[in-house]
Amino acid sequence: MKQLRVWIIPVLQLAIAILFILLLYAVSWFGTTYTFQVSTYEPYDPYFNDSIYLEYDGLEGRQDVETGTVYVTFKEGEDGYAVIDRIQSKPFFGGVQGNYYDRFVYIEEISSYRVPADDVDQIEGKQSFTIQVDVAPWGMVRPHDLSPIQE
Amino acid sequence: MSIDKKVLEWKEAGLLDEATGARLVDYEHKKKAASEKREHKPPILVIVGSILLALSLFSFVAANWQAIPDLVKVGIFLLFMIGMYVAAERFQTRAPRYVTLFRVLGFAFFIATMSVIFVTYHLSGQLSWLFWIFFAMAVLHKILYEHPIFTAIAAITAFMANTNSFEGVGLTLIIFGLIVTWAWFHFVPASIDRIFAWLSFYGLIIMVGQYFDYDGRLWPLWALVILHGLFLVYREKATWQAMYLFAAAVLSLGYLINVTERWLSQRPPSIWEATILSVVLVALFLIHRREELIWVSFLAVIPFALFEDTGILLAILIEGVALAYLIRQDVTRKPTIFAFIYFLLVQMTIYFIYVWDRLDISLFFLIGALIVFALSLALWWRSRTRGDVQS
Repeated sequence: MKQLRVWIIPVLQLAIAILFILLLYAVSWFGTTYTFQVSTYEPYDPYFNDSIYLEYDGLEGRQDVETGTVYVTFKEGEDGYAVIDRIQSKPFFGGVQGNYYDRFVYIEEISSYRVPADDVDQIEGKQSFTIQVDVAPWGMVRPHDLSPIQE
Repeated sequence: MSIDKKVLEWKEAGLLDEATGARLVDYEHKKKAASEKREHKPPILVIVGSILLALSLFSFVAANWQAIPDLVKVGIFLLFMIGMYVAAERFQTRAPRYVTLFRVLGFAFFIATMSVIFVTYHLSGQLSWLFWIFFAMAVLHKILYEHPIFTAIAAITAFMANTNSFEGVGLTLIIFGLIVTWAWFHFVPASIDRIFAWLSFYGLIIMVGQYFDYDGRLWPLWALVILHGLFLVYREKATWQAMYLFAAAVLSLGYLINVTERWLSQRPPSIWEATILSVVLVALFLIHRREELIWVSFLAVIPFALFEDTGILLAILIEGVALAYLIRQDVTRKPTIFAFIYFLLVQMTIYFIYVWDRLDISLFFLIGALIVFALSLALWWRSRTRGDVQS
């Protein structure tokens, strides 16, 4: 028994690390996918950065909450793009953590998107896109499939 | 000169007989062989070579960090983490003094692994969970491995977890934090651990107040009241219980400093809350019947003192309590050092708040010098009279 006790900690720590990675992949397995319309100030240039900074149209606008940390959920709007459904300053289960200031909800996890090597050509230089965001029932998010809007 | 030649010389001089000489030579050779074996060191080139190899491996990984798949990155760190704990067990019998070092390194690699996961997958929304998980694992290290270094690690992680949670912490996280803190408090009876766990409890209760949007001017006092619940379970006298006095001292100074500030003075508490809080503070002393708690129960004056926004009433009351405490400690022949420090701090606070703006600077220093002079006179007088009694 004494022999086994010392292994509790490494095994538990391994389990925690794996759990977090699993939770992350589970966002796509169990989450709801929303389509957002996004734009960028600074068109993507693979020479400078491997990420692109995105502004979400659905997250803009005046909200009835105090400036600071907020929690939000989404719903599909009339035009098919996602908009904010519920927003409040108190954490609630399933709420995505963000920051509200200057009439804008900023969610760090989805605000910068790492461009996969295969998509560089079609994203380079473009300014408006659609993006798919998986939102898990426990409030984790995962952005994927950024694609330019044809004009 | 080698031992063989020396023994030969002694034998020729007739100092040693044949058998003793042979035994001496034999003994010295064995001793030399043993010491060479024990002090065997790897040649310097091997050491330099392995350092260079490690450096090149690290720089190779670092240079290609962006290109390594995310899961492999995490895997590398996890491998190192497990390796450290395995090494700790391997060294258990051979070099016990390194065991704790490897365990600490294992924990460090756990922190590194989680940081890599959080950075590569942009998990900033779950950040407050991360600190509480570190805290929980540090406490588990302390409970299972029992080395004092883990007390320090647990205290640091507890501090990080508490201070990083002040904005937007959920009820689940508060409950998780309370469970971890309680485990630390309950399973590690050492006083120093309980002191830190007590502080962590205090931080968590403050957080509960924030969660329920309690309009918090009196909440720090309520938190102290709630913590008295620990006395119901942990009854034996112990050092950590001095934390109640310490917290009471800090709170009294805090209210004294802030009483004239706008956020306190312009919104007096409700008369009902002030009354209930004062009654509860006095009741705590009556319930527990611990001598030292009487000084904590003097905090009962604070809720009422807040109605008087010049702060003079509070200053006079705290001054009186500080002096009474100092005298009481002295009369009962208990250590006066903390009472004296508290008394000094109260003087300085009052001096800075009420006197600083209203005096010109030379008068300020004159009065300061007079206070120091009076204090040293008092100290000298006290030690003199006490010396008389002893002689």
